Amino acid sequence: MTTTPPAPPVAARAHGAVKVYGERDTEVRALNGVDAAFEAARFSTIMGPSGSGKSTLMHCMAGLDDLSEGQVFIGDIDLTSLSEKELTLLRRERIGFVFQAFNLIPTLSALENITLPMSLAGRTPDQAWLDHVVTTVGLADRLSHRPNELSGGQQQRVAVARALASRPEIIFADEPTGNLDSRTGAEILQFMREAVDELGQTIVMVTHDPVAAGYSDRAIFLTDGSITGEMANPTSESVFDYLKTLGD
Amino acid sequence: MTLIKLALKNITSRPGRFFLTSLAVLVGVALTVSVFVLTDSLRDTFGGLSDDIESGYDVAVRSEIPFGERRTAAPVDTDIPTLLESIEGVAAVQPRVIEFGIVPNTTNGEAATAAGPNIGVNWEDQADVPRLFLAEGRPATSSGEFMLDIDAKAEDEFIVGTRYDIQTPAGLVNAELVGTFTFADPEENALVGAKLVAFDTATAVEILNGGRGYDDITLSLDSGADLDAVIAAAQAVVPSGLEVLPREVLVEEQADNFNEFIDIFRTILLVFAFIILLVASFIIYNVFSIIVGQRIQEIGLLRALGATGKQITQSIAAEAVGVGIFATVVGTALGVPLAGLIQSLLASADFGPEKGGTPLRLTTIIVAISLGVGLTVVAAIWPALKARSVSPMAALRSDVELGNTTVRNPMLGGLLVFAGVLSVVLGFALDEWLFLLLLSVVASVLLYLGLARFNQRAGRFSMVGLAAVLLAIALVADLRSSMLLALLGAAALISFLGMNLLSPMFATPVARAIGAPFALLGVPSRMARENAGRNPDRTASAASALMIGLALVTAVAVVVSSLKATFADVLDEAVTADWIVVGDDQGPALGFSPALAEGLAQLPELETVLPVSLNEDAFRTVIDDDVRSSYSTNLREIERHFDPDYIDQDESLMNAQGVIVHEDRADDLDLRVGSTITLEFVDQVQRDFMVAAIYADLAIFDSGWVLDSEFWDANAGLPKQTDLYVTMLNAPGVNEEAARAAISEVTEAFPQLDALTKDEFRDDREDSINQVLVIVTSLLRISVVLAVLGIAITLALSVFERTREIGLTRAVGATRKQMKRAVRVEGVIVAVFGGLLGIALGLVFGIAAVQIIPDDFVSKLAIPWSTLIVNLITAGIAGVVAAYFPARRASKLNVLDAISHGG
Repeated sequence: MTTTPPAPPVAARAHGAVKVYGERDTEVRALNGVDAAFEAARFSTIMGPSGSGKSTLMHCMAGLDDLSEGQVFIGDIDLTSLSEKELTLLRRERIGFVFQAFNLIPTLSALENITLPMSLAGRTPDQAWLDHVVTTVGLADRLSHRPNELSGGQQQRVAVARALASRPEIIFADEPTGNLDSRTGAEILQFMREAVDELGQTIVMVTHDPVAAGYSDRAIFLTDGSITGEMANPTSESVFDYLKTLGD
Repeated sequence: MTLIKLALKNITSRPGRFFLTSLAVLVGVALTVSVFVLTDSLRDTFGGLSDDIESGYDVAVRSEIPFGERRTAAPVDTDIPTLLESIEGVAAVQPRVIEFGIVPNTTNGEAATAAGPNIGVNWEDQADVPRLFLAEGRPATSSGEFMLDIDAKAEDEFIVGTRYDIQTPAGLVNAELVGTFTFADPEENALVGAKLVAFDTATAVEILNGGRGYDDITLSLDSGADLDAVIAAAQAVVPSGLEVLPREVLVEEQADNFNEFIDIFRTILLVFAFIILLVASFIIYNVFSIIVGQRIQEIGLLRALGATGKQITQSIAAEAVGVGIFATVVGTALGVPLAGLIQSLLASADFGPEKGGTPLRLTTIIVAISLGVGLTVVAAIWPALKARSVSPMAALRSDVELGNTTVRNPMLGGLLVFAGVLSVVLGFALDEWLFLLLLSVVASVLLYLGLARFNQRAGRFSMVGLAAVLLAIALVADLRSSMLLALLGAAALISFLGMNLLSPMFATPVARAIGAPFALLGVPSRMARENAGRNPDRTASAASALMIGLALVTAVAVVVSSLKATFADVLDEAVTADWIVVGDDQGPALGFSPALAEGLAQLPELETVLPVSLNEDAFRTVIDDDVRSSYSTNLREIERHFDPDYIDQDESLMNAQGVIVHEDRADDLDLRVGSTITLEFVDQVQRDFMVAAIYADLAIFDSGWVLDSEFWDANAGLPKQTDLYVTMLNAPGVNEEAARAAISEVTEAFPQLDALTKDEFRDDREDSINQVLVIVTSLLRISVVLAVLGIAITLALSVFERTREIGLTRAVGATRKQMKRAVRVEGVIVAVFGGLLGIALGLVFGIAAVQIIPDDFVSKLAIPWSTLIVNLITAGIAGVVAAYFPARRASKLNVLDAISHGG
């Protein structure tokens, strides 16, 4: 593994993160002392085979799940020191999410889904920014549609638009293309890439797909709850090769 | 705000479900509103009637009423009017006579009874402003003449100029109908269901009041006269014992009298409305629990995106508010015409006014809103609070189920339990049945919340445990009947709530057991059985509404069949007479003319005839200042006609100065046979009586005091009484037919009365009890129907939830018919489960009620097993009915769509 980039500001990091499920005999250590940092305005990927703890790491870093030991930070804020209510507000104000499936509230229109986090916070969306995001995502003519009237790709684009619309400090994406065909998936990834390049957005994506990782600036590799590697400017080929070495 | 909007969208996206969810509350609100509108309308009508009854004067003079009511007050001497005429400012003095139970017989020998009371009055010829307006003919002026109100005349086709018999306390009076009149309004008769007979004043005093005087005397004033001055002057000239009152006081008394009846009517109807609302709130609870369960992923997503727990709760509460508002608005809108409908039904049965209004008062609207919206929100608040604990991680998984999330916290738990116990204690300490009921329910919730913080299982048992304790107290404690019934009601209510907590623990095995016979029918039925068993919480709560309905039906059936058994027993054991004549036992027209018994006493076919009359609020026992009702009869004859179960007696004391007392009263007042007791009567004279016997049986005289009829005959100043019933013994050697023939010659004069043998009397009473049972049960069945609707909603929701599974089953080869059967069997299992629980609870509470209700009403327990079995079978059929639409939906699912259904 190679280079360390010049240190840009860190958007999120984990210190000695441990997550244990179950007790005694059934104990599973999903995270086994992970240290990781994700820089601002970059597109980072967490990679690993299923069961490696990559999703757990993301959930804990995003304040969706709590750690058994260690600390996670968003900016300077220690998530482990926050109450449930403070965590909720933090998610609302500073974090955007894109999930693999079931991203949208079925009874709300696309536009209502996009502005949902801001409405929850009682904020009025910045109209110019909203227009910009919507146009960029190419959904301008679909805004009044309900999720079940949109294709899978369109639904994911609405999810990405929602994550972008409130201008969070960081977006966590959990296998955002996992349920899409490769062409639609590529569109979404390209779109996220542009969000980082053009809008300066910070994105952390969990994936097991080398092609998806190829769109990012940096990838870290998790195996059995520990970080086993890291790669700057990954391409689908380099990631694929790296994964092959792990298999050996 | 967004979440409120989301709530609205959730409502509008499934209008059918929204409507069905609201339906039960809607029916409850509609009934409540109609009860309020109806009784407000009755109040208006009878308020107006009170004003009419007390019209045509300014001041009334009457005997003081030391206790009891006006009807039982002492009469006013006939020489009083002359004292009043000379008072300055008095324009007219009109004595009034009024008596109930005055029934004219038609020419074809029928009694012209009214739906309301049959009333006799005097023709008020002295009045300045008349209350009775001559319509045709002329006023009655002598003892051989009478008059009728125009409607009474028209209804039974009386003819002016013809002679008729009229039943009066003085016996049958034969008089010529000389004229007709309207009441209170010259254009239109303002009577509400009553029939009026009028005599001239002297005749009225003689035959209606037994010559004892007037009921009151009214004064009209000259215009400009000073009311207070006239009252003072009148009070000064009349002897002590009479009081002078402005008209308003009598109007209000009259209205209060009516309102008392209307209030009882209202309370009874409201009980049914509240039962329906109770069932409705269980349905709401159930639907919202399922909705929250189905939306866990959605709630998780909202939480991930930054919705606070509070916002989630608010959103679900907003949905409940939506349901509540809809139910309130539509329920109120339907309740008003429903009241009109009930009114015209009552009017067609000659009860109440035909054209009463349907006033929608502010109180009614407030009650409708607080019940409709309030109950819905209260019922939904638990699921809404549970939703708040859904973790954001739920968004990422599709297999999360709503767990029980009570956190162990013995400190808080202890506090809650303490508060709960305190609440019950306070309920007893306040000594007021309503507080006891409400505080017990509050306590049950506190105890549950408290105990659940120690141990989940303890929490589940808490409510049923408290219900059992309250029931035990009700069974052993010596409290007022109202407190005992409040305890019973609280125990029932709490056990309904508690069963919801407890029954999931055994829902699975019981559902499997009920389903066992079906399982033989093949795989679909086996699946149904597993489905009913796999979500015990849902099976239990789906069944709970039906449980309540059937518990009430069962409890009522147990009480009523015990009532019948008690009655039959009493008749067998306590009545030894061969014949009984009983008058109408409803309304103020209690009893009938003593002339009947006098006529019967002349018959050689009868050995003895014993009339029994009841004087309500007849006297007060001076020693403890309690007002008491009194029976009067021939004391020496009692034992030949009845078995009063004398504990001790002295026949030599059974005379006009003797009194017979129930053993409990004797204990209270420390009386023995031969003791002297002082009684004060409505004429405010104290008289001494000697205890002639102490009896134990409750059936004949409740636990009342019995005086000798000779005493009443000897005291003309006391209000006269009519007979409540008459019993007879055949003379030796006279058979039933011969006696019946002789008796009917006498009773012919009183066409509304019949002499019945013991068996006939029992059948007659059982018929009337059965009539009441039919009405009560049909009202309760409304709640059962709504409960079935609740099961239908639950099944529909679970079919929706299992769309994928149903698709898969279909894909691997299940036919539509098999799918249908699976849902239907599940419906039957749920319904039979609810039915079993309901019948079990109903038995417990019915039996407890029989123990608690005083023995003079119900003393013998009888369980109507056949009715219970029919109810259980009905529950099973109800399950099939409830499953009809959900089953159709399940069978019509498109296999491909179902498999790809989100999940």
